Amino acid sequence: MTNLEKYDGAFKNALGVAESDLPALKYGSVAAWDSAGHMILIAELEDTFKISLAVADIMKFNSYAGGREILERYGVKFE
Amino acid sequence: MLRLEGKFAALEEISPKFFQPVIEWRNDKTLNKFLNQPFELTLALEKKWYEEIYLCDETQGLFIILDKATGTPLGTKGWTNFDAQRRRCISGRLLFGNKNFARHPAFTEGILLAYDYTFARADVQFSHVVKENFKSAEHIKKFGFAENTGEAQYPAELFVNGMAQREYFCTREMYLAARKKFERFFDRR
Repeated sequence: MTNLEKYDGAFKNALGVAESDLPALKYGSVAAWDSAGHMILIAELEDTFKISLAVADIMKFNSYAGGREILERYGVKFE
Repeated sequence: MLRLEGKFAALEEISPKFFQPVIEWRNDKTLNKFLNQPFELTLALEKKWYEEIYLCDETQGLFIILDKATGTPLGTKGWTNFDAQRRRCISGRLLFGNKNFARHPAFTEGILLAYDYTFARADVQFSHVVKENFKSAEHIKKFGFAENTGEAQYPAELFVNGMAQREYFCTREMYLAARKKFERFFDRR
C-alpha cells in the first residue's frame, strides 16, 4: 500500500467520506470534519504514519491537499 | 472554585471574570443562531442570572474551556437538570467562542474533561438540538450521543423559542466507547 493510499484511507476511516470527495476536502466543508472530527483524523494519521504532529501543525492542517504538505515535513513521502 | 486540567485544556467554573467573553460569544449572531436566547445578553443580565439563579441552583453547572498554556477562554460546556437520584442530566451550553482555536486540541479535550466530570455523576445524559442545526447534531454524535426515537424524556425541550428540537441521549457506556477515538491522540502526549 502506498503512502497516498494510506493517507486517503485515514481520511475515509476518520471522517467517513468518499474517495471522490477527497481532493476538494477542507476543514468544515463536511459536517464530519469539525473540531472533534479533526482530532479523530489527526489521531488516525498519527497512527497510520507513526508520527506525532506539533500543535502548530495540527492547527495549520485544514485541507486534504495542505495536509499532504505538512506530513511531508514529517518524512512521509507521496510519490 | 472548581478547576480541571488536561494536557491542553483546563476547565474553570463560570465566575464573574469570564462574563465578558461569554457575553460576546452569546451575542455573536454567527454563534447564537440556534441558541435559545431571543434577547441581547448584557452584563447586568449575566450578573443577575449568575447571582440569582446559577449560584442558587445545584442542578446546573457551566464550565469555561480554557487553553491551558495561555489561559485563553475558548468556549463553554455545561449541564442542567441534574437529577442525583435518577443519575441523569441535560448536557448542553456547548459554545465554541474563540474561532482562532479552531482545530486546537484544547477544545475537544475540554469537552472530554467536562463529560468525564458529568458522567462520573450521571449514568445517562440528554441533549436537545434544533432540527436544522446539523453541525451540532453531528458533533455530539462523535461523543456517543444518538437520537432518542422513543418517548421524549424532556418534552418541554422539543419546542423552545419557536424552534423545534430533537432529543439525543448518551449513556456512560456509549460515551466511553466514543471516547476511545480521541484517547489515541491524547494518550500519546
